[in-house]
Amino acid sequence: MTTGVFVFLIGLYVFPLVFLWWGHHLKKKSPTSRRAFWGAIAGHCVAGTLALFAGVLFPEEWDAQERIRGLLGLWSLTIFPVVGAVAAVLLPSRA
Amino acid sequence: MTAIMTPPRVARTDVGHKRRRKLSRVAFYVHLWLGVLSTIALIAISVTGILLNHKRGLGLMPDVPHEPTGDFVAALPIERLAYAALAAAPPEAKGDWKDGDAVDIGLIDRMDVRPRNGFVKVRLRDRASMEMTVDLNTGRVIHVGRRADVFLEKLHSGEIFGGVPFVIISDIAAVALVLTLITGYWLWLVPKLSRGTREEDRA
Repeated sequence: MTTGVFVFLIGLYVFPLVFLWWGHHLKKKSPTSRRAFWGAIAGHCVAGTLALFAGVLFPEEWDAQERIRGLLGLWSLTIFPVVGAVAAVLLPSRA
Repeated sequence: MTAIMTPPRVARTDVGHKRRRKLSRVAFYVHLWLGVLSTIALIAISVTGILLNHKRGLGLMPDVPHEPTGDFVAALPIERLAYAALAAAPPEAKGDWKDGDAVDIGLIDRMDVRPRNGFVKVRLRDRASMEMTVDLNTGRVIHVGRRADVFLEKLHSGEIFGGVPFVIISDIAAVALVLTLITGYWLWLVPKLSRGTREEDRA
């Protein structure tokens, strides 16, 4: 198994489990935790959409040189939720 | 007689309600957790499934209309058909192979003979699954194109991520879908059933 596929599987099956655990009794969590949660969810939704497009738009097998496709198809499901969570915490709150 | 039978019936329905409530709670969490867990995998499987259902219409699989140009007994040897296909393949699909070389079977994935159409489809093992359609009797290359549906099939099954063992990805999603559907029905129907028995009890 390549590193890309391993990271992809974490993004596909482990991250949703983390979100479920994190989202349990969300109202009782701190505002920062709540913002990070929604940022991660947004990141995961965007990553899922982009991964699907990257997968089916060019219907031929991955090449090691295809960095963008590899990033969107394999790594985005793990990277984007983390980026989303960090961005949500760092960005100024509307409230 | 009635006085003796009434208390056990009430006790039984109480136990039944409790058990049903507990099962509904389990069904709710199974529905929620498996639903969230398998969402992305199921969306990908559904989208690739729709694309595969319409592979001819979407041009993902070349459709080559052709009539036989001779009798099947007069068909060219399989090696000559493979050579004709390799000679017509785009350079990026055939690697170092060049005209005049012996047929490199390592480049060929499969040869699909269609006697009623009078052609053979020669599929290569490159990343685009290039396919040449060759006339069985004349050896003329009728069509050259990539088989996009081969990649989509592998993506649909999960095989693309590292071969046959990775079909487990789509297996997990499929089992999750079945359990989510069953628990969904349970959560929909059981409250109706419980309401019915409570009304019966009250009557």
